[in-house]
Amino acid sequence: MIYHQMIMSRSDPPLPPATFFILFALTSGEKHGYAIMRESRKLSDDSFQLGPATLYTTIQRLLDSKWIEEAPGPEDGDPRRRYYRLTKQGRWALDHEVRRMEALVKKSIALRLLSVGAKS
Amino acid sequence: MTGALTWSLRMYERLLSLYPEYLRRDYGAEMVLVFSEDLESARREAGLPGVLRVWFRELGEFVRFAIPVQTSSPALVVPALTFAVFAVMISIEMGVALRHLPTAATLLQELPATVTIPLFSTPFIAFAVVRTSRSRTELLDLSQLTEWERAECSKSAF
Repeated sequence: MIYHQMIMSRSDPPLPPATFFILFALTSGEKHGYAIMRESRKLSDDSFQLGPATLYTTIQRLLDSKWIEEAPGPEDGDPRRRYYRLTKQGRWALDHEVRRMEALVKKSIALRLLSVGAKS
Repeated sequence: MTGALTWSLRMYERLLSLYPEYLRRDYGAEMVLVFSEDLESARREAGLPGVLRVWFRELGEFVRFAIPVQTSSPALVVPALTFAVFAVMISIEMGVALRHLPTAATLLQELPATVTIPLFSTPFIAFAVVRTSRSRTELLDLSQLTEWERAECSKSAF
């Protein structure tokens, strides 16, 4: 299934966690696989662990969907590594997902399920 | 500890051969690199518990990615099925034998005869299963065809 086609509809499902964190990790610039893994762990406060198989399966899907693309890495870098960066569609999809989450948080606050600034 | 890391890497490379082909072909080298860096970093930061955590996560990935591929492969299904059939037949035969033979000594005397039927029938069952799975695989392996051949196939009744 091509994600960017899925997300065009209003009733789109939330992004899978691996997809979300890989896109999120790439917002700060192009990265290779291990850097994406570390960054997504950092962004999730260690609550989300990406393994190599999940990482590269998701990367392949994102490349197919044109949400990310390969980028030329540094010239003195390890030739085994490939670098990836967000495309416009990828950035748009991430933005869309963040807005969806933001709307959910706002609704939760309105329904008093969540109070701003309170410790859980 | 370096020995453990080397062992872990060798083990991971072996496990990788059971992963889906597209992953091994397109990302195999990078996956090994990522795994080794992650393992080294986990060891530096948390020692043995860190290494075990990486392996635990890897086990989860193995179950999610490699097991489905392997269980759909005739190379594993056929021996497993044959073994299961053999085990069931042996159990039935042993059950019947135990019901009719009260002493263990008599059972041991009769054991070769009890095992003979399943032992001889198993290769025939295995042959039948292999033939069936091979013909199924040949029919389903359309990915090897060119675009033109696929178009021709879709025109025919097949």
